[in-house]
Amino acid sequence: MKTISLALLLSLSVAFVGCGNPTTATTPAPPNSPQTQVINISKTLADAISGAVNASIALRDQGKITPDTNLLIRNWAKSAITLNESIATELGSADTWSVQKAKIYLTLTGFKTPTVSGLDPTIQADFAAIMAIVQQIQTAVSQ
Amino acid sequence: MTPQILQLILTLEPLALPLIKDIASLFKAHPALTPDMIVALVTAIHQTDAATLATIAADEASHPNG
Repeated sequence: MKTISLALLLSLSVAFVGCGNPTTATTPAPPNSPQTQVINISKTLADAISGAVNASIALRDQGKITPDTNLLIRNWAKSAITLNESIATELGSADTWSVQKAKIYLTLTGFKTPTVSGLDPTIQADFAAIMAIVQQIQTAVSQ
Repeated sequence: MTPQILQLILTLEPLALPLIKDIASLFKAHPALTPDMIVALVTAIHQTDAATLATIAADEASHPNG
């Protein structure tokens, strides 16, 4: 019995020593779940909307865009924030992921950035990034 | 009997860790956030949106016509 105990102890010790060794394998990180992806993308969308608003205000102050354009972007940003808030609220709800993704998909229907001719390249780039982010959310909730 | 058990344990021991890793990888294959992590991230989204709305409100106050 004592020998068996010693053998088990030895076995466990070897196993734990193995666990403690630094990992040298380069296993790629597993992909995030779709819900995790959408939460992270939603935060990116919040940051991108904020960036567009700040850029618009700065460009208006520099005289590079008209007050009308800034007004248009401000109003669009408020609706975009409302949309992102509904996504975040849904993600924080007790709904199952299948319900959440269906609701989020519907929320995104028809979302687009404002069309303004001769828009400053900075704002154009922001809008392109925002549409790409929204596309990522649509892809994630379509999986 | 005892030496055979010892031999069996020593034989199987190298297989134990890979098996544990395989089982763990099943859970890691599609990692999901814990409820606490979801709450923290959702809160961060709400905070960012609130800050942007505050920026817009301040700009509306100082530049009502855009």
